[in-house]
Amino acid sequence: MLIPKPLYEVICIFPQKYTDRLLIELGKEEIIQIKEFKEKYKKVPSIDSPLIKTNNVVKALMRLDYIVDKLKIPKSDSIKEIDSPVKSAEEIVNEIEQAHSTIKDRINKDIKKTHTLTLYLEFVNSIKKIKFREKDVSFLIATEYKEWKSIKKGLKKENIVYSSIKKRISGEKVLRLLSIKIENEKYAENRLTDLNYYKGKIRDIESMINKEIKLAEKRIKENKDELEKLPGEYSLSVYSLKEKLELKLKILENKRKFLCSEFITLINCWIARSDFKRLKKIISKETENNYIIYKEKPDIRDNPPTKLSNFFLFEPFEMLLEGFSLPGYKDIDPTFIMGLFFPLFFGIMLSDAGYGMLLLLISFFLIFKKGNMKKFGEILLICSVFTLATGVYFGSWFGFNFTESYINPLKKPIELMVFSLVVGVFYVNLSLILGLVQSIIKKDWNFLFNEILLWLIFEIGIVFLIFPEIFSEHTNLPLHTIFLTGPVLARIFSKGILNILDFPKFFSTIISFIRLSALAMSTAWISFAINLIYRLTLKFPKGIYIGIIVLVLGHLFNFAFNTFGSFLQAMRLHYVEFLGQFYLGKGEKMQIFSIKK
Amino acid sequence: MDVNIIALGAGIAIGLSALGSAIGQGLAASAAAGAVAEDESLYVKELTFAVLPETQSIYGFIIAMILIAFAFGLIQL
Repeated sequence: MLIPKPLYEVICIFPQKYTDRLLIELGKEEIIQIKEFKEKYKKVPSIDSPLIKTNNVVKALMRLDYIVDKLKIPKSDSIKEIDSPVKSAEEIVNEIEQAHSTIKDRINKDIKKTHTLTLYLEFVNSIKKIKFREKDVSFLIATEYKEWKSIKKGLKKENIVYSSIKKRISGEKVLRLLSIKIENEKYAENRLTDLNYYKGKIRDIESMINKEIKLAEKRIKENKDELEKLPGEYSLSVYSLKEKLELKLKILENKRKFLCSEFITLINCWIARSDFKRLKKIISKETENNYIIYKEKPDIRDNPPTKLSNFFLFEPFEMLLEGFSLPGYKDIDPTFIMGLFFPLFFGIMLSDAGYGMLLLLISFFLIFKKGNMKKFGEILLICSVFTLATGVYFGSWFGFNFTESYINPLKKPIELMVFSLVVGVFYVNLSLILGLVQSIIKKDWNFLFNEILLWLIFEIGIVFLIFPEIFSEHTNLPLHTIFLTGPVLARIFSKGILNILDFPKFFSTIISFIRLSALAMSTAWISFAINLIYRLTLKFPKGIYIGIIVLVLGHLFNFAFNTFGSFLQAMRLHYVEFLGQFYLGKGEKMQIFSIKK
Repeated sequence: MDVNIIALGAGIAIGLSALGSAIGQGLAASAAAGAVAEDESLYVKELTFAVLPETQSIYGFIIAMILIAFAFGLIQL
């Protein structure tokens, strides 16, 4: 209700011989706006062409086959539903390859580590028989010659090396066992910080290495198990994708053959999403099932048309919005708000139950007309109901007052003026909130901060100024100054000094709603004056006849004059004060394709 | 304060502002009529432009109402 109908952009291709009958049916149904129409359409559509799609499907299938062969993925018994198979295939193949290579890397790393540790162990075993001093501590390190040279230099300098036994393991790497006096342990540790070493008694080092080998072997086993399970885990997804892609390939192949025909017609159109099934049914019936149809969500850059969709009571007010400008495809449709407040404003301004009844009669006459006159009649009908309601509340019947009410244009004009101002504050804020929602939906942050939040903050400042006691108990900060000067400075910096005039304009927008009371008073006082003249004529002989003429013509004039005025002013309040706060109105009406008999 | 003078003030407030509005509205409406003659679809928009200068008479009306309300004691400071 608050946004225009969502649409699809549809491309339909079918044999040329069905063109006439399909167009006639579509014209009768009145559901599409034709964007492009081509007969004898030879060229394959460049975007979304079946050829391009076929290539993508074949590529995806090849990748799936490769991964099935490589990992020996077992065949799945069941199949699951998958959306966008080409994209999913790409993703799943990447996921499987990534998982497979990660596990493989882990296994290889552990195998390499086990191999190195076994060499360490052999070395330790070969020197186990050597008796080291009880108080010494051993360091097992693997270094290259250059690295060792610098370490050795430092160690020798301090004369702390008790013994060094070495063995070449791989390439330039040499495994050494250093036996160091226990009091130099810390120093040696600092010298060997950058190296991996095993430290302790020779037996401890042996058990350490053994433990690490066992851990690495355990990890290798776990990873191998995981690698074995991997193909099974992806079996269902891979085979579902394969089946879906194979099916898609067959369909695309057929479409491609069909598109190579010279005798085809292309219709590119916009359609409401709710009507798409109906369109498909018509095309299927009229082309005897020989058609290809593509649908996609419209790209906002293509300026999709606007099709309003509102509750039947608010539908007539679409005419008023169209008179101003239609909302863009993804903008807020304010018809619903206008449908509620337009008749209310009209009713307050005319505010006479007698005039409301007259308007009701006229609107009954108009709603049996056709086209815009009918819609206008419907608007007047709703307005007349509101006028009747406000007239009854004010107790005003053709200028005669029968009952008392809290607000009344004749007896309590100040209360009516205050009421009009309250309505103005409410309505302007409602429009700001709509603007807030719209700019968040459209991610238009510039509009949000400069045209919406700025005013809301400014209003909060005014509230703080009028009611300083609200926050005075909690803070000593001059909140009203902050909230009032902030938006003013923001306006000056963002739009220039001259735009400071927007602030009085904002007040004038709210004050403008006083016209509600002004028009109500105008209606009431003119009625009162007509009735007064009527009473005066009664004082003359046979003055009753003149009096009745004055009464009838006077009220007819007042009714016509103020109905027109109220309608115009209600329209103005919406176009200028309400829509002016947030409405962009850049939409174009959906031009429905129709064939008239 | 003399009620007569206040009533005169109220009359001047609404009278002058209505005069200004009428002149403005006349200018806007004649231009709007020209535009509508060129393009009929502009009717609603131009009608709105034509009634725009009426805001000034609303301000006059407010001043007049406030003056009258003070004069007859409907509101007090």
